[in-house]
Amino acid sequence: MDPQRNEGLLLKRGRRRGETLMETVVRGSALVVIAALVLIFIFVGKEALPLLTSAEVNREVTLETMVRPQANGQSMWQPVSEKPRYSLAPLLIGTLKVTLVALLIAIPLAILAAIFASEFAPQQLREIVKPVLELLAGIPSVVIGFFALMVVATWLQDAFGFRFRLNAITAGIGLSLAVIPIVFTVAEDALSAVPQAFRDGSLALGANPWQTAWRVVLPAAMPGVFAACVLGFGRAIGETMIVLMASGNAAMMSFDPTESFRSFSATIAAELGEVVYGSPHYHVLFFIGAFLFVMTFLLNLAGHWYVGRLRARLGGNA
Amino acid sequence: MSAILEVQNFSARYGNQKALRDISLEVHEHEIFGIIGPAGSGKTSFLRSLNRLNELIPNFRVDGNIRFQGVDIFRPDVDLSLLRRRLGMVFAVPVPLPGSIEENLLLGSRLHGRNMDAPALIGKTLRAAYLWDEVKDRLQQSAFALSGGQQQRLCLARTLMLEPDVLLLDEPCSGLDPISTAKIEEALIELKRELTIILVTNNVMQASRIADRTALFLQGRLIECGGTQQVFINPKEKETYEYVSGRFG
Amino acid sequence: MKLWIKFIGFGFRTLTGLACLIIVAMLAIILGNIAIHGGPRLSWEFISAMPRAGMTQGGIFPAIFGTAALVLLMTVAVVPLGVAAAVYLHEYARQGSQVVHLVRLALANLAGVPAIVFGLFGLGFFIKFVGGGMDRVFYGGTLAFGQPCILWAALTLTVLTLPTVVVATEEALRAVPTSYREVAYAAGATRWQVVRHVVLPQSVSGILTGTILAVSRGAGEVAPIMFTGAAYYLPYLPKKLNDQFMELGYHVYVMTTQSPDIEATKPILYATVFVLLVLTFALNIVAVLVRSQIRRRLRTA
Repeated sequence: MDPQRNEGLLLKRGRRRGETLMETVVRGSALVVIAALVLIFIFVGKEALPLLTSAEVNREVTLETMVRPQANGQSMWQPVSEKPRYSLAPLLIGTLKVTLVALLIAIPLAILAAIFASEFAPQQLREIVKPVLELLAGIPSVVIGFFALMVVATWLQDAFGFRFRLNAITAGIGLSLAVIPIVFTVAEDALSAVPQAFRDGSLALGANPWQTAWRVVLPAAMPGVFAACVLGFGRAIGETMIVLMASGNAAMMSFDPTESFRSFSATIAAELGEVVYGSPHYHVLFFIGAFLFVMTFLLNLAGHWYVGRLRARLGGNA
Repeated sequence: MSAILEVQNFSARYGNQKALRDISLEVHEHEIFGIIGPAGSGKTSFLRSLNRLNELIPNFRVDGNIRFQGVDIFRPDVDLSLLRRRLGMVFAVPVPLPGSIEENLLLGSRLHGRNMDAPALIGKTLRAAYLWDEVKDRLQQSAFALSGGQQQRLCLARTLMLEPDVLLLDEPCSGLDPISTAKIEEALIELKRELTIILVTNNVMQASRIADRTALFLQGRLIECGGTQQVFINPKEKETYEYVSGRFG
Repeated sequence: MKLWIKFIGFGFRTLTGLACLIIVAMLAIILGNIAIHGGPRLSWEFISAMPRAGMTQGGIFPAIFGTAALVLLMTVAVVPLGVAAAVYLHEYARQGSQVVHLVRLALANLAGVPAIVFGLFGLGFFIKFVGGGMDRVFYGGTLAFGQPCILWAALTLTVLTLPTVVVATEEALRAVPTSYREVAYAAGATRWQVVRHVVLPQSVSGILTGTILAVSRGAGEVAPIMFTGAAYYLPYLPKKLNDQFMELGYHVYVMTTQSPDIEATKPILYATVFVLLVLTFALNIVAVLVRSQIRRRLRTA
């Protein structure tokens, strides 16, 4: 044995540095992810803050005037007029209108389809359905908006003769196309995660497959299915292009789904191009954006919390 | 023969679970050192402590001393990469890496840059692993095309390409057919002329066949350690006698 | 009684199958409608020529070029960043540590941020803060980067598609067997060497899938680029990082909603939508195919 080889066992400086560099690079990249979210919060919030803090902005509009119903019972959103009005009410109602229509269509369809894919469909069919839904998710929302505006609106007009060609139903149908994939995916994941043992046990007791699906699997997967709905809701209120193109873009204060409307996100998209940098209108738009960000953030947290609940519940029952 | 590895009062645990208790032994140069014992006795934990591979596991903690060629391997300034090359390990399940047979063998040079005489070294290690005749014409073929026994010999050759001083083998023949096992055992007997071999085995007969000295581990403790003949024919401890005679397994 | 249950069962199963069918039909209708109206207008001239006569004639080449340039810039930024972040999460970080938890939380939330909020972010952070800062420091106050341009639009899209790349990469890293890593460590590899020589080469297809999905998403999103660099009609192609650009999706949006004569622009409009759809679809299909091939290979391994 060569006594000199002892020394060889000890560390050489140079190589260590390369290792530390790479570790710093990858750790830095992971931190960038966190930083991105934080920066979004900071910089959207920064431009929204003057609504609450700047006296100059508050001469034209305050949080209170946006939220309180206006005096003559006519809450309006008319930021570009002689006497600017900034009531959020028409926007809120518009957003809720179209979200309701979209969810009424999307949630039953997506959940039933998820049940089919996970409980009844033969393997071959399942391998077709899941990619098809991924393809649906891949359609750009501007294309869906285009389709809703050009085709769906015409069909509905021919069939029902609405007063407004572009309304909450048109936009809601388009929006449902964007919501279905996410509700389906999360719900189907939740249903598939239910251990086969549950189904086997139920079938062994004499139940047939649909009873098993309805009474055993679905309840077991319920936190996940609920999470799917929550995430779908978040997607719906955040969606911009479909609503921007198919809503008629009239900030009317009405609960009637057959009338044109404006949603929060579409308002930002429609007006940000014309707004003067630093004007009260500008800060109000950012404020709405910050509000949307916080809302979807909370909905996402809720959705993932429910998925965690699902995992805990199923994980405990091997 | 001098001691190439000295273990003094070595203990190890995974979190709160003790795996090894107060092990003290020596491994001599150019010998085949066999470690026997039932499953869960700490043999693999011990082996993986020698090349500090256990440190990949988050809650692993050690106590005591291991010296390799006189140097404490747990010193903070030890080059871990170098340590693992000097104590090369062959795992229980053969793990060919994706790629050709040649690419597998060149893993060491890819990592450490030494390329001096690759073709000669490839020939040498494949012969030492008793695999040369079977693959000499198809070095470019995928390593996955080999049989289980051949893959394990490939892994042995791959480790030998690092030119280690010590070979750490963790139940290398488990799951292999008797012919492959015999080939590997022959290879090891030849190899001990050049390096030192530590062989963990579940198969008591294998230890009696090829190990010069043998140690018996039981529940994390070293029960007995000595010349293989003596351990098998004239064991000092009662547990040794019971284990080698098959009273428990 | 038994017959009644059987009937409900049949009804229920049919209902769920019908739901699937309806969804597939919706997809087919959209594709079919656009293909039928847009297909005929497609020609080599359409793809390669500049628009003429107020978007009623000519082609949409600048929009295709702009989309390609935008997406290329985005890919150059998002792939190294996303892969590195995934490598950290899976290979370097201690599982269950606070940082890992935070990063995963951030990823999940980033994926849910509305597209228009990304647009606001691009405006408030990249254009005003970073761009404005760059103008003050490097350009002595003249307007160079403090305005909408392809660089900021691409970076905004980078943040938007980051979760896609990270998630796909992590899935690929997870699929590499632990035994491969052990063999490499036992042969004396350092952590980075294990990643570089063993893990990453095995993860290439998964990373590719994630990249393709990100590209498809980036090519389709309009809201984030509306105010960060896209323009409706430009007589030039973007050549510098601080140029504006035309883009397919934005083009569709403006043509649809602001065209003075919708009937005249309808053919070009449909054809543009068709091109955009074919582009994003082709990318999606390729990604789905690659991914199912990987999964099939893993299942039989």
